[in-house]
Amino acid sequence: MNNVVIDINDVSFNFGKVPVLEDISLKIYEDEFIGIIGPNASGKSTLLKLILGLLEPDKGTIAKYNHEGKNPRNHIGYVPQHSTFSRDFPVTVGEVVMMGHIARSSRFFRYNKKEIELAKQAMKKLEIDDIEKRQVGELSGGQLQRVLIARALVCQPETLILDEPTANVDMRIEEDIFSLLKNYSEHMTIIVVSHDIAFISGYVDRVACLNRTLVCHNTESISGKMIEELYDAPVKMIHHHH
Amino acid sequence: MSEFISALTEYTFLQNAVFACLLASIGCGVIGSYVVVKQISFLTGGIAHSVLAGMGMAYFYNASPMMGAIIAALVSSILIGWINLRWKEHEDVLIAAFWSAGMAIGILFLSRTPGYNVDLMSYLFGNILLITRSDLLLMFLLDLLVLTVVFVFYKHFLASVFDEEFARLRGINTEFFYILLLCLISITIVILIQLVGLIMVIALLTLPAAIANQYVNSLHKMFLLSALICAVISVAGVAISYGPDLPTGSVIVLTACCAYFSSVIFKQFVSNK
Repeated sequence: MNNVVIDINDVSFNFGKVPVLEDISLKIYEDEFIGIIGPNASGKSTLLKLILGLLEPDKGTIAKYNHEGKNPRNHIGYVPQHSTFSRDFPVTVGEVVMMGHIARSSRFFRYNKKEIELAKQAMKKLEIDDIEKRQVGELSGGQLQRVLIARALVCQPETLILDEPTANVDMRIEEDIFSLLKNYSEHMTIIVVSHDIAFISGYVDRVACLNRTLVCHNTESISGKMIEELYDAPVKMIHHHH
Repeated sequence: MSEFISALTEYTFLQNAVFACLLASIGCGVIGSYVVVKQISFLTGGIAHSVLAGMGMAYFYNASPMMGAIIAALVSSILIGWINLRWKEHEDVLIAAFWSAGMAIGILFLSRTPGYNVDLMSYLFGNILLITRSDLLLMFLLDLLVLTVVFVFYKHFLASVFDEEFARLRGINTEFFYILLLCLISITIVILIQLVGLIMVIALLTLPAAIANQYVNSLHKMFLLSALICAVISVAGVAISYGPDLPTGSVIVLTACCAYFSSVIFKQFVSNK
C-alpha cells in the first residue's frame, strides 16, 4: 500500500446553521487517481476548499503530507473552475502559466531563466506552447483548462486537485483532458471533483460519492443502485462500448 | 489651436499645466489599469470623495490641503479595504457611507473656515491653471513612489488581481496587496485632484485605461497605452478649453468620455465586419 498523502479524519463543516459536510473520513494515497462526485450542492467544493486550507473544518482534522492545518503549499497544485476571472483581463497564456512560480520567485517584474524554462516545458506538455502570446479571454474552454493545468504543474506539485475540470468543454476535449490526467497519475496523486459520474468512472481508480456524507467505491463496483442512492432519483445505467 | 501653442511658449502657467497633465498621466495609466481590471471604480470614487474630509480639516487648522488630502486618502483606503475584507457582502453600502461621510466632514470643516468658497470649488472641480512648481514637484514624487511600488510588486499584484484564490493558495498575502493597491489608488487620486478635481477623478482613473484594455493583451502594455491616452486627452482638454476660457477639468473629462465612446463604437464596428 502506498503512503497516505491526505488524511481527512471525521470532518464536519457548517455554513451558519446549515450542515454541509458530516463526519467525512477519507484517506487519499500516493499516486492515486480519485474522483469526488456528487450532485450540485453536495459539498464537493467545500470539501476541496477544506483540503486546500481555504476553509477550516468545524470538527475533525485534515492532515496533508503529515502536516495538520496550514497548507504545505509546495506539495499541492490546484486547478480552479475557470469562471472566477473576467474574460477581458489583459493577460497572456504565458503570463498565467508563469504565475505558478509566484510564491518562490524573487526577481522584480520579470521571472528568471529557469522559471521561464519550466513554464515553457509545462506549456509544451499541454500543447499550448503555440498560443503562449494569446490573451486568455480569447481561448476556448478546453484551451483555458489546459492553461490552468499548466499553471498548476509549474508549481511541481505532488498532488494535483482539479475542480470540475471539464465543466465548460465538449466531450472530445473532456476525453483528452482525462487521458492526460491518467498519464500524470502514474507519478502524481490526482483528485478530481465532478458531477459527471458516468464519465469519470472510466478513468479514476476510486470514486468518493459525496452528498453531505461520504461513501467510497472502487470503480468496478459502481451500480445503478448506488447512483440512485446518491442522487436520490432513479437513474438509468447505460452500458456502452466505444 | 495655434493660439494655444503660441500662448504655451509664452506663459509659464500653461507650461505648468501641460507638465501636470504629463505627470498625472503616469499615475493615471498605471493605477487606472488596476482600477479597471479589478473592477473597483465605485470604490475608487468613494476614496476620492472621502478625501474632502482631509482637505477640509487641513484648511480649518491652516495646514497644507494637499497633505490633508494625502492623509485622508490613505486613511480612508486602509479603512475601506480593511472593513471590506471582513464584511464583503455590504461593499456598496460601505462605499456609499465613506463617500458621503467624507464629503460631509469636509464641508462641515470648510463652513467653519472663513473665505473657503473659491478653494473648495477648485478642489471639487480642479484648477489646473493654478498649478505651481512645488505642486509639480509633489506630483513627480508621488508618481515615483507609485511606480516604484508597482515595479517591485508587479508579479504579486498581477497574480492576486487576476486570480485571488490561486495567489492566496500559493502563499501570497492577498489582503496585504489589496490594501496596498488601495493606498496606491489613493495617492494617484491626490495626483489627479488638481487636474480635474475630486468629483471627476474617477473619469481619468477609468476611461483611458478602459480604452487601452480594448487593444492590449497584457497588463504592462495597458499601463503604457493608457498613460499615453491619458496624456493626449488631458493636454487636448487644456488646449480646447484655453481659447473659449472653459473650465479645464470639465473639458478634460468630456474629452475622455468622447474618446471612450468613440473607441467602444469603433471596436463594435471592427468586430462586426
